[in-house]
Amino acid sequence: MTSDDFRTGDSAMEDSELDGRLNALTRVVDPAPANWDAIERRIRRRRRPHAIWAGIAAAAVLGGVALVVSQIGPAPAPAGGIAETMHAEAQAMRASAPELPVVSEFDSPAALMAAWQDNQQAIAQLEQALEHDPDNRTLLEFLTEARMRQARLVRSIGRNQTPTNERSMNL
Amino acid sequence: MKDMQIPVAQAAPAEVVKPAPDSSPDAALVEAARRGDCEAFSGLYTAHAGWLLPVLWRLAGGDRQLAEDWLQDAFVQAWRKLDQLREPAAFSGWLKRLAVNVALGEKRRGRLISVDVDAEASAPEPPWPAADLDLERAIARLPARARQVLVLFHLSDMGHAEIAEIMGIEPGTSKAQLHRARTLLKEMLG
Repeated sequence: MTSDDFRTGDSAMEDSELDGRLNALTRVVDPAPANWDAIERRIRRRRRPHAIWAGIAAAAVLGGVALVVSQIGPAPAPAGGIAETMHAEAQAMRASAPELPVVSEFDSPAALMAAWQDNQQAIAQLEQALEHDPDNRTLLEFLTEARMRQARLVRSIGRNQTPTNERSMNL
Repeated sequence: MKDMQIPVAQAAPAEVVKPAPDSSPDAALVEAARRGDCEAFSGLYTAHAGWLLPVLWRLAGGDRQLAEDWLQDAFVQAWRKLDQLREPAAFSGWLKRLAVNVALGEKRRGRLISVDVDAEASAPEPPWPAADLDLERAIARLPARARQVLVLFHLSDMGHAEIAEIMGIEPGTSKAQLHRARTLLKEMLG
């Protein structure tokens, strides 16, 4: 089909003229910042599902480590060597733990991702300590408990995300 | 894609910039936005809202508020559905279909009932310096279905097969509606 197919014979305007005028219409304008502001408000309020689950995972791991750190009681007298190193690492983690927010306090993807990075660092410290002393049952228990805690958190958050709640989180 | 040859424009606008579906900047921004990067998504808005808004304004029959609502809805949906986009570099085409679906879905739900009746009285004026105000107003006065097909075909670079699919009509119906729209425009402008 060509534009000639549109010719009606009686038309006051030629097809070529109409095509020219249509092609000359404005196609691109400056995007209005106000529209972006409105969009940004909506997408920040309703995070993408992918980001939500990434945040949940980050928060869960963070919660697990916070629990582990909180269970490290007053340190026994260090025996030197690896034990002393582990004790120092545990102390450092305990010192940072009280400031760590609980899961429900994360209200933005940025906060969750920052927590995720902090938490990854803490996990790395634990793993590093275990590399020095792979048979240390206390550290292994810490990690086990942290992972169990993570699973519990994910399950409890999943229970709260009924279809109705999920719809309300999205559009 | 199109099965109709459009003659070379007699007065091609200097600012015609068609979306570039293979542009790699889109792919990088999409990947970042998928990770929750709002700034990257802002970049996608900046790159694409400028060509999408005129399409939506014309689909809305010159209702600026409605067009902006659709624009916002389209981008919010795009943000939510980014994981469904298989080819990040094809973001612009994907966004266009998403936005057109938003607009046509809204019209199907009956929100835009008054446009055809009131357009002539309100004499809509585009929220940008109009290159051809008479033509813009004539398009706004077209019957809804004819206007949709004309806008999608001539001003959104979609072919009849794609228009038919997105509107839920036969390709032959799309061609007939385009013929009707063009005839009406020529009568109004002649």
